[in-house]
Amino acid sequence: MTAATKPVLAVRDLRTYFRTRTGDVKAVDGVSYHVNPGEIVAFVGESGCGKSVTQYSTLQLVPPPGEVVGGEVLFEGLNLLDLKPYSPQMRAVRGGGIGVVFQEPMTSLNPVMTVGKQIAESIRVHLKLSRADAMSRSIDLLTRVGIPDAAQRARAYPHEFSGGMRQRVMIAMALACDPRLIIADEATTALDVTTEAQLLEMIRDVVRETETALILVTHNLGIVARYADRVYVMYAGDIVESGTTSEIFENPKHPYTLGLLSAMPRIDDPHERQLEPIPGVPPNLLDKPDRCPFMPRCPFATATCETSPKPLLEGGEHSAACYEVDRSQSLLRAQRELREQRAELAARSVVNDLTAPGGMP
Amino acid sequence: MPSVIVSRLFQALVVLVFVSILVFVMMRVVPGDPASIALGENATPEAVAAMREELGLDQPLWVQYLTWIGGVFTGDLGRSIASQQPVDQLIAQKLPITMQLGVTAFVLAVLVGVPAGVIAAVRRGTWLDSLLTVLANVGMAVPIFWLGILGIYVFSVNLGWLPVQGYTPPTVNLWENIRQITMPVILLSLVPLSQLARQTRSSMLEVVGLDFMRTARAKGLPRWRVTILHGLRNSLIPIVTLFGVGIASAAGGSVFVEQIFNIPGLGLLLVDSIFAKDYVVVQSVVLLLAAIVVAVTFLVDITYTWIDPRIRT
Amino acid sequence: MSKIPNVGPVTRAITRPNSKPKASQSVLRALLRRKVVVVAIVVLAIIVVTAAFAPLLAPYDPNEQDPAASLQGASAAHWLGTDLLGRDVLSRIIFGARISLLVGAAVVVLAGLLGVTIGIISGYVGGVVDAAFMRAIDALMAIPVVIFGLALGAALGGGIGNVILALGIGTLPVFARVMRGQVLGVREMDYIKAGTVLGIGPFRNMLVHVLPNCISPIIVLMTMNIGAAILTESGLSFLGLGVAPPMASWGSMVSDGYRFITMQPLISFAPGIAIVVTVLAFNILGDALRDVLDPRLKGVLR
Repeated sequence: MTAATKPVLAVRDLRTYFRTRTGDVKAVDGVSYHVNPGEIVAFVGESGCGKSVTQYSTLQLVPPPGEVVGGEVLFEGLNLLDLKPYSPQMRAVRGGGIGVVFQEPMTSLNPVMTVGKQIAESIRVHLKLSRADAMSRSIDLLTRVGIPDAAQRARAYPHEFSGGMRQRVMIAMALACDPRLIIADEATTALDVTTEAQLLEMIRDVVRETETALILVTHNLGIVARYADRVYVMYAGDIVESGTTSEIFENPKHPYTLGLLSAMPRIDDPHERQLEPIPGVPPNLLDKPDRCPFMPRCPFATATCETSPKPLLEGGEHSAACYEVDRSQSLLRAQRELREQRAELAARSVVNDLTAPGGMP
Repeated sequence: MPSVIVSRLFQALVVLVFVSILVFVMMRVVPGDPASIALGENATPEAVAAMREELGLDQPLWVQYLTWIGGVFTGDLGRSIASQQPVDQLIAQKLPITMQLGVTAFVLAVLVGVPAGVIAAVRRGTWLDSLLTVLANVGMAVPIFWLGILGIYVFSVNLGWLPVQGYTPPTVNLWENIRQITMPVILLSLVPLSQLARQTRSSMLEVVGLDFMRTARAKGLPRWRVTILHGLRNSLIPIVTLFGVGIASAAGGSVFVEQIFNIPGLGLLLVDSIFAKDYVVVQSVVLLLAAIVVAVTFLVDITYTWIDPRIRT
Repeated sequence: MSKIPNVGPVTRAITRPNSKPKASQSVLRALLRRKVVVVAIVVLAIIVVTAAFAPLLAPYDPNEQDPAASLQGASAAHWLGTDLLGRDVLSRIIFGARISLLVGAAVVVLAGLLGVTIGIISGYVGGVVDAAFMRAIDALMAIPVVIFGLALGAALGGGIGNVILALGIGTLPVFARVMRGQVLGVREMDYIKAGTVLGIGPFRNMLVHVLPNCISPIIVLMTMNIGAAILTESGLSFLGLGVAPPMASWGSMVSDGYRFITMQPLISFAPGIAIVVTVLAFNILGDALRDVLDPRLKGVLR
């Protein structure tokens, strides 16, 4: 990927508010990101941080009282926010340029239409194929996503499929018109772990094969680690850290990311290590003050953090929106040293046990 | 699937049997003796006895019932006490007329009511929605007979656009027929139309926020496809359920409409017969109307599986 | 207030006696939120008061004849004019409200009582009895209410009491169905089974446990059906069934005035307006009650 590659999607300062009687809930509060062709980008954060609303905002799928109030969403040269939701250009992007896989396979498919027809519908509208051609393409897609006996199954209704199978159908539907970008919004959250793994493998294979960009919205760091090229960490409507996957996991900069990773069990942890949840709760998005949203829960917060305006991403390949990055970095280094020391001690005591008299026979 | 049809058919037949028993019993609670009522005060006891025998009133009740039911199959439904005409002839004459009114009204109700409900739902909260909702509510509160009189006053007496009353079969004079049934049909359609509009709006509103609608929008489908093929198609069950009610409404309404516009249909026959205590006519006509309602309900039941494939029984 | 020993603030908060406002108060507040509903309630209140105090409010005796003033149009003396016998139309409408309200209320109460009873028995006993009852209810529903009322009412001999009886029977199916549905839903609940195990007879079990849960849908149904009952009664009166002259029901007034439609249209028009307003108000109230108390009833129609 050269620096000259134009991103498939470039979002700048996106803001989405939910208008309520008591005020505006700032669900997405000035978010900027981009996705390059063929990339897999993850959006990670806890429930309510705005990662899903961000995606829907780019396609103007946010239901009232939600409203996109500002920003730019550039897709193939067009600012999607300038278009009206049902205008021909917007409709061409939806499904044609960008495909979406939703979270709930149980309810996201039309219950009274056969699966094959639902996929073919998209194809006929965007690719203008005949009914027969669209259906045969639809069957091909079903086979591609791993549904056996696709020709038969295409005439079945969603309720005749299991959850995992329905998600495969949704993926087929998202891929149907060769989109340049697929948004998978917690696509596997509702599925069991085994099915989830199968599905993610399949998705990754397919998007690599077709060179489609993929946005993975998830709260599961394991998925992020395994599949994503780059990561955006979101908190309370803001992106607080962005970088490549390896960078984020090995050198997390933002205290929130640090907290997330500490709360995650690792296979190389000593078994006495306790999982450390982040104390406190996310802020109320209704009266969001203009300062770092994580400050109340942040172990590194200083008086400056409380009075200064909201920190922005520094810029560059790996950046965090934090005034105290250095301190968190030094803590990280200290933690790592401690871990290495402990590992060394453990290894040495094993050797001692082995070589001491009366040790292993 | 066929087993569903068979079981529903069986149920419908049971219902019909119950209807016939109900109607039969209703007609027998008449205080007084139909024969003497028919013959008047000055009838001799012999004449009354003869009439009773002729009408079969001397037989035990269950025999009378079976005779009547048997007659339904053979086509011999007895004779009208008042006019002496065979009931099956009367029905054959008047059923087509009432059917023309009823079916036209029903079709009108569906063709206007359902789209109105869709529009109201899609434009929820706007003045159009409020207007349609108010109209639907008023439509259900207006007495047909009164509106009919109002209509005659305005359109026939004052404006002279439409005839006051009467009926000419379409085969004789189509244009006159159309002029004559315009007001009756509109009146008959009002209540089912309002019910359908309200139910359509209500069902659509429930569906509009569901997940698969969001998927449909995200696929970039044109608005009409989203609203109709995804939205309306998933709201159909409660709407279609109203079809049976709508037919019953039309049947009930025809009683008033035929009275006011002097249309010689089953409704008018029914009212006249009821007041003449002509139970022979009444029991068969009511059974017929109820049978039509049962038939429509049965057909609607069957379409459920076709509308929503998740329904098996 | 029970004495709570030394416990922390969380426990204290949970065990504090319930300070929520009474259910009926919150229902009222929810109802009054929409202006249309407020208007409907006010209108109904006016109608009820008018009917109750008819002798005081009506300018004339409704049956007082004045042949000299026959078929007059609206005037200062007679706001809505007079009919053939010189009777004041406005007064007759005011007194007619009594009939409509009486019949409307009586019909839904009767239908409610009968329907609820049938529904409870059918739902609780189940099996063949349930199936038979339900087919019988279907049969009743297959006969349009107007026709049923007309046929049975006339067969019984006409008169307002028989009309109420006939319409009450004709309207009971929806109550039976809804009640049966409620019973079926509640029957399998554990607290009913617990009652049976404890030896509570089925009748008492039903009464004490099932009924209280089902009150709100029944209230909603009753309100939603009053309007229809008034409409049907007016229709039957129009045809000649129901009150006997000289008493006037709104429906019979419309019928009486038909002959004079060109001379004094008010005789027919005014009572019709009264019907529309009353039924509309009841319907709006019924809808609002349903939305507040039991939105599930949206699929169930009258």
